[in-house]
Amino acid sequence: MNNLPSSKIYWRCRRGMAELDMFFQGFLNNDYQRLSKTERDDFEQLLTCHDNDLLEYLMGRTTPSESNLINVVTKIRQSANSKT
Amino acid sequence: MNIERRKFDTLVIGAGGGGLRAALQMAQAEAKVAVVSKVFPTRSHTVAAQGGMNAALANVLPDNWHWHMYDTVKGSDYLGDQDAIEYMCRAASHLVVELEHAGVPFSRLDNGKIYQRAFGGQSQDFGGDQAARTCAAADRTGHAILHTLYQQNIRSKTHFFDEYFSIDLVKDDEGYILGAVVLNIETGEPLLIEAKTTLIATGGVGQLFRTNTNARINTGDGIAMTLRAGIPVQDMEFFQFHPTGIAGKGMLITEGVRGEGGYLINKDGERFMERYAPHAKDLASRDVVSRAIAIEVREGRGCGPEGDHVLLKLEHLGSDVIKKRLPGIRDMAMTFAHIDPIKEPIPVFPTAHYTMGGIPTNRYGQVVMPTEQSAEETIPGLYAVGECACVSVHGANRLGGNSLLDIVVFGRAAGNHIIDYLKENRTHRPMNESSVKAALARLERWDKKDEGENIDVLRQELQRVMEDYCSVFRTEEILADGVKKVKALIARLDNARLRDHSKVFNTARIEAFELENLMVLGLATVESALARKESRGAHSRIDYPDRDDKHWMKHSLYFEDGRVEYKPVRTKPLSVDSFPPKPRVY
Repeated sequence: MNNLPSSKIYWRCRRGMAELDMFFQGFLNNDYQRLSKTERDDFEQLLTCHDNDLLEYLMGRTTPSESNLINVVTKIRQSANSKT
Repeated sequence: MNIERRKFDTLVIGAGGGGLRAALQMAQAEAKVAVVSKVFPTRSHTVAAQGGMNAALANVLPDNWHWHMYDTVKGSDYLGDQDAIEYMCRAASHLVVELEHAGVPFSRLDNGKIYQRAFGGQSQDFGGDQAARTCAAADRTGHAILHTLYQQNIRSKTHFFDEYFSIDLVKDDEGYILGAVVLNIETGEPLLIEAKTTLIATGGVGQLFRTNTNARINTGDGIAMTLRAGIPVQDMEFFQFHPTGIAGKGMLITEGVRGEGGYLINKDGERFMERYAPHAKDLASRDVVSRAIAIEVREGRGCGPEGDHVLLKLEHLGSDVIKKRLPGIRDMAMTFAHIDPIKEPIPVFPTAHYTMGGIPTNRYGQVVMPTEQSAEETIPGLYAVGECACVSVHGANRLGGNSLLDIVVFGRAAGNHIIDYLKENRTHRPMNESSVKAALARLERWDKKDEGENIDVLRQELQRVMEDYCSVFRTEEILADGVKKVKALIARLDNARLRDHSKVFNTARIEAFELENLMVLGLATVESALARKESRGAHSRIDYPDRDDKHWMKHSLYFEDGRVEYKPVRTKPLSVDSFPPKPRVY
């Protein structure tokens, strides 16, 4: 099965901040395809968050109140750390 | 022609702060308003504005709008239009209060008044001591403003077309703008939005440069559309490089850090800004600081193994101040540079940040261009505000804290002018089908299915060329090479092809349109930079190191056919005396 991000996911990772673009671009290119079906659903849900909240989650400043998002946030953060 | 059509009183293209402020003004006057945005509105780039919004409230230090005006004129290196600057600075305090009443949670002083911080280029008493003029909602002012305006627009029944990409303006033979052809990204179907007025608020074009602080969406779509509609773009050679982006990454470290007491050092530990700006030091305006950093690196005093950056030191501020006043900056440095600024300085280098040039407008947001009848003939039905516009309050160099102010002030002004225009123009003009057809032809061009150049490769090459040939340091030779290289890329763009020809969410097609926009604006930028033989503000020519007011105190106008013409700076303010040009020393 093709686990690559859909064009819709790809477009919704276009955000208002360069920092978020950097987090998501790296993650889509390198690590998204390793997500399970549930994690991909969680990722899609994460994308509905406001940019400012996303930045706080991905910076590790706060954690999402929806517990199912914590795992995917952790994976994006790990992806960013491994690419720098 | 078989294309879906919708009619509105007014169309706003772009849903950042400028577009939403204008839309709100019009919706509250009960105009039928459409806002088109290629991303969800609250993901517009305004959300990234960390620093704040200037207004001479005098809550921390003495201040008044006239000092703010002086600083803005001086900061613009005397290329700013003084009527527009006076209008903006006079309106600022009122509009901060208006935003506060609309729900923006500005940070407070202990006495309950709005907190104001010092930013570069701010002075008391026309060039005296440092002023503190920037109102902020912690370090997320843009986010607060954008969300507040969006919510107010929803309440006022503004109609949003989310994830629609604007292809081109539609105009008639008399020059009236009749709306735009847009593309529904989700379905891939075009839509004609007919409107009595169209306002462009699509932001800047930071994606021209490889190292930049901008979101990927900042591809100058509205500016390029205007150019294709036969209207010149103004002052495109003036591109602000923020002095303190994270080295190698580009993300912005706001100058609020230096406002709080951070300073720059070179590899010898020298606080080098004392040599370049003895009075203002690290709070000199952005172009002065950017050039100083670039000189330090070019002359071998850069830091790191490659000697390719300098350091922004703030450990001396102490852990408490950094955590309280600059929490976002600390997080940024830790995440993207793996540096804790409480313990170590942050590696920084200038990165492309702000487009001073853009669509020429007057202070009502009306788009203007020279004709045989007038130097500034208005284009009926067309408006522009914000970073895509050149009103011009920023001239050759924008001061920190003036861009959020610009979008709010001129968004509101354009909204008010459009309300009056709509009273005089109650019906839609007949549609010009040939203009619709021309816009649709841009869509069809990407349907060719043979082999060709790759969009991503061309985009990366353009960004590299712009960075190498049109950034902080410019000479005749470098820029002339840059023109040739961008033209060669444009020629290759003709042979570019899409690999994906599906309709639904075909983002490759959107990126192809964005690249077309970037290409024409890249050429506009480097051609305008080559033509201007002086150094002024952000435009720094090694071969013409001085500002030349006698020959060059004028705005450039670049036309799509490659012509560069000029028009005078409006040096007469509305009610006060002009600030005549003088050396810009900090």
